[in-house]
Amino acid sequence: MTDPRLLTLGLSAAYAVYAVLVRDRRGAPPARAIEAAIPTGIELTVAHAGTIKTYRFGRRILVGRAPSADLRLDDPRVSRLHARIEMRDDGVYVEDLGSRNGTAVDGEAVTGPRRLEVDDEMTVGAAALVFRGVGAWR
Amino acid sequence: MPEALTRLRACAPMVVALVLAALTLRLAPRGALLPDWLPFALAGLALAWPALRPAGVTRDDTLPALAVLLSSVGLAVVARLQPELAQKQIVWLGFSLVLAVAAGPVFARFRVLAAYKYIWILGTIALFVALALFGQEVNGARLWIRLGPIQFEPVEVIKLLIVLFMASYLNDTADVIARTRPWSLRANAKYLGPLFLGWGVSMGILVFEHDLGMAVLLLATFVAMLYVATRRIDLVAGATGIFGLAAWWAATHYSYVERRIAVWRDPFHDPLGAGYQAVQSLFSLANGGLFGTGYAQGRPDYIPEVATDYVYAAFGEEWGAIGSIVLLLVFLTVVLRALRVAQRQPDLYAKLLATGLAAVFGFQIVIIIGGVLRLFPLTGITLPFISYGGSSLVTNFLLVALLWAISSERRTA
Repeated sequence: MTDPRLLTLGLSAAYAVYAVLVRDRRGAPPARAIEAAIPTGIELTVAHAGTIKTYRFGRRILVGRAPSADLRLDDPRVSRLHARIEMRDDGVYVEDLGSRNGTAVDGEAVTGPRRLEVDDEMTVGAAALVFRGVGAWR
Repeated sequence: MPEALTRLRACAPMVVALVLAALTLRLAPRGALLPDWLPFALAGLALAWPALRPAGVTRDDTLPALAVLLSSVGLAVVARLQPELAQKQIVWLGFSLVLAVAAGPVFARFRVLAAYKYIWILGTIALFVALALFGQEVNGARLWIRLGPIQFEPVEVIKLLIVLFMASYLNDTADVIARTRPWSLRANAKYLGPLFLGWGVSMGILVFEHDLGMAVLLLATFVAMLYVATRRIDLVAGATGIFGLAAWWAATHYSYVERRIAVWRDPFHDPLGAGYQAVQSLFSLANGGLFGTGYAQGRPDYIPEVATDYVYAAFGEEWGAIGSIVLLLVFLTVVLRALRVAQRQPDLYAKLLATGLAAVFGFQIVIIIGGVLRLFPLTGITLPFISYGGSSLVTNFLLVALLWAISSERRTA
């Protein structure tokens, strides 16, 4: 072969194609494997508008008046997206999302992310939310 | 499989890349890459890079290999265009590799970086202020800071900082932004406010410092990450609309933007003046044709700024359309592998970080190559790994090192 460039180009192209199409044999992403093995979520008891009910949610709960919220509270004192309860590596945390009337845990206003203990009671508007713990369910 | 053997296997893509690098650099003029032992030292360093990963994990070792392959092609191109710059470039390459290896232990715990979101945005603003105060103006754009013998380009670092900031901010707020109704101005302002503030400040300063290419790059990355995090197409439309208006305003109020657009629409209107660079690059590409003139056989030296903004035209002349397509293929491989890394992440932060890095890398290639090929007006930014430029090389090696770290998965077999 007279032109040294052709060797470089041919090999580079072949390697690029190989890297995209062939070399990815690492199996299913671990994310899905882990999710399938430990499906976890948060359990809350909600006392609102005269009813008390226990719900099982996912790992992240958006509480608010908006129709898109995971826990919808129809109450004018509740902001559209009021608070977020989420599972992190080291526990379950509640965070106020800059709501008008604020969020409280056992009577204390929530300023930053605050870690929840089992049976802590959150106040969102007129509703009371009790953290029951985490569990494995689908 | 024992640990030592998997480490050896991790080096396989790098060996392929080094063979290709040797084939390419063999073409470089004698004496351009002095001293003779330096390329071998760099090859050893490159080989050590994938081997020095934490124990018990697998990583996407194609990424560092492709970075080394691309940067060696860049070195060969620069050595042919301006041998005296190749001397500097090879030192920068060595520095980049050392930095990429040294940053390994930090990047291995990259998830802690999520906690420092305001550090990233403050760093960005500090770099911009430093640029405004101590920056040196080159060709009407204030882009450089001189530190003793070293000139460095803060925007290159800024693009990484912005991705880091966006990833941590969106990690906290993406679910809330996603569920805010598009027409609720108050709610959108509340959740998107800090994002637009941080980003708007940088955009404003970019416009004042006359660096359109980087402004477009940051906007595209911003929009891509926002969309991936929230899937809100109205934000994409809104940001693009605002950018369109800003671009129109800049085109009618800033003479240098107006000139760029005029050159883009008709470079032959003033072929010896404003359109000289664009016309020469078109002649270069035309001269190259399908197979190219051959390494060091073309005359790309007629193009001003050929080693930085117009390096793709020089490459196209000597390696032909075929070479240019192969180069694009290798770039595309990096972007695809990076997006694959993002897909496989279990948590939003890692996903967003990998997507952002893939976006910033991919869009930069599109913006500069599209500009050189006259798909849209040219905005001067570097072609990653190929253009001459120390800050660009260092940043892109760090970008790949971070992506490589994100790709870690626990070894099962």
